[in-house]
Amino acid sequence: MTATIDTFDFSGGLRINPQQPTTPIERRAIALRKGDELRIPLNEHIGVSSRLIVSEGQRVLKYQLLASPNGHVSVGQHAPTSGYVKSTSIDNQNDVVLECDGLDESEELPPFQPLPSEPYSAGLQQSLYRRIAAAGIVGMGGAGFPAHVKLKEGMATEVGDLIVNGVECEPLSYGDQILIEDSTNDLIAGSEMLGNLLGAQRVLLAVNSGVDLVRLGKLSAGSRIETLIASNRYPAGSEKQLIKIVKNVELPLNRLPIHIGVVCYNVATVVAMYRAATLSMPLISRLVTVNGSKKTVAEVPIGLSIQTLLELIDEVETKDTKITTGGMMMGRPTESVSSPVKKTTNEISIHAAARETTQPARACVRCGECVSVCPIKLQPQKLYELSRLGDLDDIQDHGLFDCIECGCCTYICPSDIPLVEHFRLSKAEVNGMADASSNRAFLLQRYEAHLGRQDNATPAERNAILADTEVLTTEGIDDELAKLKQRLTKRGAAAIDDDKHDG
Amino acid sequence: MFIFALTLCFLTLLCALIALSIVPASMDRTQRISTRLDELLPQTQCRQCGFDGCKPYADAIARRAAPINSCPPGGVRTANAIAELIGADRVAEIKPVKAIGNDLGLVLIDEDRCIGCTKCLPVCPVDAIIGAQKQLHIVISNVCTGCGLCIPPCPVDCISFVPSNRSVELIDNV
Repeated sequence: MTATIDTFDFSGGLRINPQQPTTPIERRAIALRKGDELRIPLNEHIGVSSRLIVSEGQRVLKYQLLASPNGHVSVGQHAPTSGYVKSTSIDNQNDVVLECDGLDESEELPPFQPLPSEPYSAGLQQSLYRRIAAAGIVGMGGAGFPAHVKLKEGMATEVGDLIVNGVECEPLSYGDQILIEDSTNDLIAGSEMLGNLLGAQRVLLAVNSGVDLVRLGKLSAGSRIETLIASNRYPAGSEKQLIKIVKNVELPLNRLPIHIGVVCYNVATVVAMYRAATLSMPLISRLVTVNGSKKTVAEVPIGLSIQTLLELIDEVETKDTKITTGGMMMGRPTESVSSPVKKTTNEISIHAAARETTQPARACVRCGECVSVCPIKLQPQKLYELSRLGDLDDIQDHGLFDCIECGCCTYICPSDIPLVEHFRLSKAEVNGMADASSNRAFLLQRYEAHLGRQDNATPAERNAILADTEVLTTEGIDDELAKLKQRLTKRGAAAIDDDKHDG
Repeated sequence: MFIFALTLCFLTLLCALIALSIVPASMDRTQRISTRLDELLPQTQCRQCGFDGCKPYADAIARRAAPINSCPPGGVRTANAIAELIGADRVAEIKPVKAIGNDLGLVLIDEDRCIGCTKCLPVCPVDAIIGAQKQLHIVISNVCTGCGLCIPPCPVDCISFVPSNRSVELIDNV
């Protein structure tokens, strides 16, 4: 490890509280009991849903593939323990429900494959990539983007910086910090491996001040990993803000880090990728921070319901408590306590109802606090005004889609206006509008074809209309028409045959 | 006297010429505005504006013969775009003339009740219903605009509104 490298600062943001919790963090490993159910979603990542390959009633072993990736931008899903497939569709969702048998029998994994210290051969690179792509890993910071897609793009382009993000965006999450402390060796080896695979010039490990740097320095001695301490201001752990801290570059909208030669991975993703590459171990569990009566960081199997998780770590959940998934800044209320822990679930908070009763929103007094904290330098108060007016053109000109929904404006607002909720609503409205405008041409063509058929058009005109509408045939209609034609020709042929007999 | 008659003739001719040249010009202008208005309208052809489709409504607005806030599928946004185009005041709410539609829904045919009469087929402006005499009819869900024009002609009332995936997606995204 070299000395701490030069960093820059990002604008706005909030100093919410020191990263170190006052009470010690309790570490828990979840032991599944016989009869516990895991509900593994197939479409939770960004990209195409996984393709189910097991059937109901089938016995599966730990690490066994339940659903295979469906194309390049997709990931597989694996069994976190042994058990029986109880159901493959629940509440109209194609989720796999696995009933644990309590035995935790696992498929045999190939032995540990050590990585060479010299540059990787092309063959090794490909085999490492294949193993990472087969392990069902998504970005575990919360985005859920398939990790191998980013890796492949990075391997094809020149990469300047690999940033391993251990900053922990959410102020009350401790999962990344615990991971850095407990899996330091895997993290360092994994960062080196990715640095080699990507051909990165620098491998940077970004952490917050809560991490024991002396220990980290000792363990990473001799490697080319450089450690940097990111700002304690929220949202320093956000990808865009971290890139600003490292490179002093503000990433514009619609540009990915790879466009400026940067690849960013969360620490948990890096550890998962390292285990996939050396042990062929798929991603079946993750660290989740639970903020309730105490602070717990638990290693939770993917698919465990929030209710069972709380029960297993002795947290009390009653009618009066409210549960949010995600952190205090970006979290959303949990729809149901039976919803599962996903590959992107980083924090679960239990609020006593009293803490949840916030003041109703009052009028915006244009104090400008939101402007001073916005890390993207937007004008939240103006966006709010435009959102309420429903002016969807103007609001886009004011940078609606640049908003990263970090929640700083909502947090600081003295009138308790849920600003980010308004922006999310407007984003959904704009997306719906784009659909409508592409639909307009489609509908018009169909209407013209309809009119054309109704009017007494000449055969030539009719043909022209039909030729135009050929592109419009909806999926399924073609098949139906083909079948109908087939039936008709068969019947016609039969009739001709009958005629012959008569003759 | 002759000169007077000649002058009169000449003036009449001149007037006629001027009239002939002005009227087409103004017609042309109305047409152009109407075309641009039609491009703003959602083309669902739902007739909730009281006209027989989006183009007739656009023509009527261009002639200043219809209010600009009669289009529920277009919403306030479209109405304000129209206001900008023709220089009218912005509007705050939409008042359809014949509201039967449900802009977030689509229609569903009850398969147990459909008798295969084909009465709903010609009224659908976007041909979203497939069917034939004495055959079960079916709605193509990704074409149906939810205008509800097929509901009144059905003799057995087997067509009803259902929420579409579109609205579910919108709510999910919020």
